[in-house]
Amino acid sequence: MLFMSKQFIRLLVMLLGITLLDFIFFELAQSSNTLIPVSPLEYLSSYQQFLFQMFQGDFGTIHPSNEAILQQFFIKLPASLELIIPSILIAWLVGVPLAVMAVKKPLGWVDRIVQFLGSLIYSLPVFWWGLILLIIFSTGLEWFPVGGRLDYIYDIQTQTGSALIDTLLSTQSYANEAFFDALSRTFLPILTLAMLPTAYITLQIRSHLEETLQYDYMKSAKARGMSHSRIIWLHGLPNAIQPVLNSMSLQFSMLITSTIIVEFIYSWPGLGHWFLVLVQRQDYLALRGALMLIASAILLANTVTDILKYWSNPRLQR
Amino acid sequence: MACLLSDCSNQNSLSLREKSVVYCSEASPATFNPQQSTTSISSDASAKLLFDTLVESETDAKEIKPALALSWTVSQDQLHYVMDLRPHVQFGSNKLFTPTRDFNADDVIFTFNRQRDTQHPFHAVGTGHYPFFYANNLDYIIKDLKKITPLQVEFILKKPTPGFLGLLAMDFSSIQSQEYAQNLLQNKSSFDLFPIGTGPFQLERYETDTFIRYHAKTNYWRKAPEIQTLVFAITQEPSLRLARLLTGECDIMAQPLPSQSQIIESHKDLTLDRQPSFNVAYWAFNTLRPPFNQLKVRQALSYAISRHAIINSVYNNAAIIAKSPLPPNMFGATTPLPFIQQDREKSKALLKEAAWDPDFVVDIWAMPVQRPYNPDAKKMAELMHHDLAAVGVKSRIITYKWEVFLDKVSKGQHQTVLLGWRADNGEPDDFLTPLLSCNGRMNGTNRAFWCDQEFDHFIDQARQAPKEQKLQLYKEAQDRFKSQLPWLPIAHAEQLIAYRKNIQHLTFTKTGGINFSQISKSKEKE
Repeated sequence: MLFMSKQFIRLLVMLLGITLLDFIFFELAQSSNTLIPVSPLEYLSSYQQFLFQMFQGDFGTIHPSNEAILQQFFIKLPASLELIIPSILIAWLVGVPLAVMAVKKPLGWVDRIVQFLGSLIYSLPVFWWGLILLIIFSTGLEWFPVGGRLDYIYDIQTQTGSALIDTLLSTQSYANEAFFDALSRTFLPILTLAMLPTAYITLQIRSHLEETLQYDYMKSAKARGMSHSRIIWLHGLPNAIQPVLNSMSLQFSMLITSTIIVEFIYSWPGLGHWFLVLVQRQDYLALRGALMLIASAILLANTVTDILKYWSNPRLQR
Repeated sequence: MACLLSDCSNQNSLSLREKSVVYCSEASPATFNPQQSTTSISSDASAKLLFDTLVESETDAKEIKPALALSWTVSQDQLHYVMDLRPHVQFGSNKLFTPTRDFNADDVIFTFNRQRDTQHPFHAVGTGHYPFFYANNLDYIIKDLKKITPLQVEFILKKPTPGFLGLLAMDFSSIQSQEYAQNLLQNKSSFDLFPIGTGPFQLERYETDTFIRYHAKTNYWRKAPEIQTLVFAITQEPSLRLARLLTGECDIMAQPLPSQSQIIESHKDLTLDRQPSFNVAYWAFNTLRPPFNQLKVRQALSYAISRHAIINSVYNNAAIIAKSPLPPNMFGATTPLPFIQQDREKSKALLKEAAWDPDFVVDIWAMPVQRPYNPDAKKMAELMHHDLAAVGVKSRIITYKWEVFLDKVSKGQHQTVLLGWRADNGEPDDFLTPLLSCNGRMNGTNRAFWCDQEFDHFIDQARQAPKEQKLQLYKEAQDRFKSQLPWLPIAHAEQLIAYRKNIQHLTFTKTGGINFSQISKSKEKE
């Protein structure tokens, strides 16, 4: 209980800190355009007003269409989640078995290939992978479209913001076709986004697993006649995963950055793309609200990860 | 795998694809109201698609053809124009409005009164600026509009204006619905955001910076379009536009880069069209700001620039060197006289005469976007920076987001700026008045802020003179321009457009706009 209340207070303090940073940052950006001096008291009262507005759920509107930021955020969020959730799943589902395969025979050929590919993928930037995949599979082989969420010929009303769900909900005669079109467009962006975390998870688990296998209790398990696979999956892996899970909060922020880049490369109408368009348009008031919402979402996700980590680790609960 | 995941076309989707045309446009429109539009994409996305004008002018701009007006009579004193309107023309409808009546004289009166009457309830809606209407002096020329019968309307002018019908053919004279406006008195801003017109298409949905969706009107008063849906896929990045064209996601691509022409021409499914077009790219000096108020400085800087190099590397030779503000194939353009050629010695001598301060830094404002008349202003500015350095002039390149850039330039915050112009009709006046007249300076379209009584006198005279005298007056105006050099004309660019081979009847206006109204699409060969 104490842990939960601590987490809650930490969340509140950080949110308040973000509002302050957000406010100062955009006041500075805007004041570079005006020459009227403003007194500190005026700043304070406009900060108060900013807080009060957000407390009421008013994060501002986009110029010139007057759409509410909060509403736009929830329309764009599902599109980003369509990329983020599958990438995390792929990273774990592919990364863990690869690490296990590699560690079965350290420095064997499987291990060498896994380590080589892992380091290669991890050391090259996301945008480079995005462009390379685009050149090979879209403009070269013409297997996949070059970007966008849905073929322009389909008119699907946005209901949830997720094109996969929206096409399924649609009553248009071509809804099925549109669904498969939307599905085909997820392939390259998810692949690009999943590459970095997959490489990270594979390399990290492999090295932790290798370390864990050196411990005495592992040797005793082996002495008791347990099979190698059983030792790895049952005893090694839970211990090797823990430190990787611990570093996941940091990795999560990196994943969000990659999402922005991937959305930009593939013209994916998610949060990152939306944010970059607002930056390009220099719509400061909208950016202020959007940044606040995106930062809050990341903070919330991190808090949830921390809580999960706490519940999954008995040592922390003591 | 690819077929499983991607679109394995069946008969239904093929027909859907055949009925839809996707146009990869280079930018988002700033407005859907052609009266207020100042960018070519806003005109392409609104004027000819959604609206009609009373009359139309064909390419040579001399011949005026009927459109929403069936016929017209002009009084002897040329002060009264009575237009007979076309009956049974229907406006479109959207979720806010379904018309209960056909187009009539009230709509014509609404359209022009909105622009000329500052007290009109819709005058301040949108930007509240009507640049073409005011640049052409129509606020002064039109004395009144009168409804004679529901299908007859009279324009009463203050002074005879020979080019008046030509002005009615321009995009800013597109007819809007008075009934729709009446319906939106409580919600005026929606009027331009969800436009209603008599044109061949109706706006269905606009997702900011993503796409614009139109459907063809079956009740269009001319032959209805053959396609059902037209989509503007807004794709700013030229390489992504080309990629979308190559993969067939787009049928038509706006403004391919000159450097992409080889790829397009060698592709079996694509066509590249080159059109000489009425446009000009220029380097304007803000003549209100010292030292650019001195003629010698303007000349010196102009002599420093190699326009050959610009045509070569910025336009990839898909342009010609500009020798006048007017494109060479336009009526009134003077025959090429020896004009400024790069001459570094002369430039240095002129700078010396003008007592140039070697520490002064010239700001070159370069557009952040690709325009029909200039594919890459930043690259152009870099070349010029190099040329200026060679004569000992320091310079720096400045750019902003497009809307901010235009706003600052129209307020005169720049020293020098790289911009350009695309014609709205075939008239020389459409270039000279907004770009170089004193009126243009007030409206912010004259980026040099140059106001010269002698020049204004020539173009004012030319506007009212018969054709033979016009030619002489325009020549004098251009000579005056050349002697004062408020800007250095740089290039007249070819209009490039690329499309897939199964697209037919795509037509271009001579002014560089695209006309989608008769477009059709056949099945693509496997």
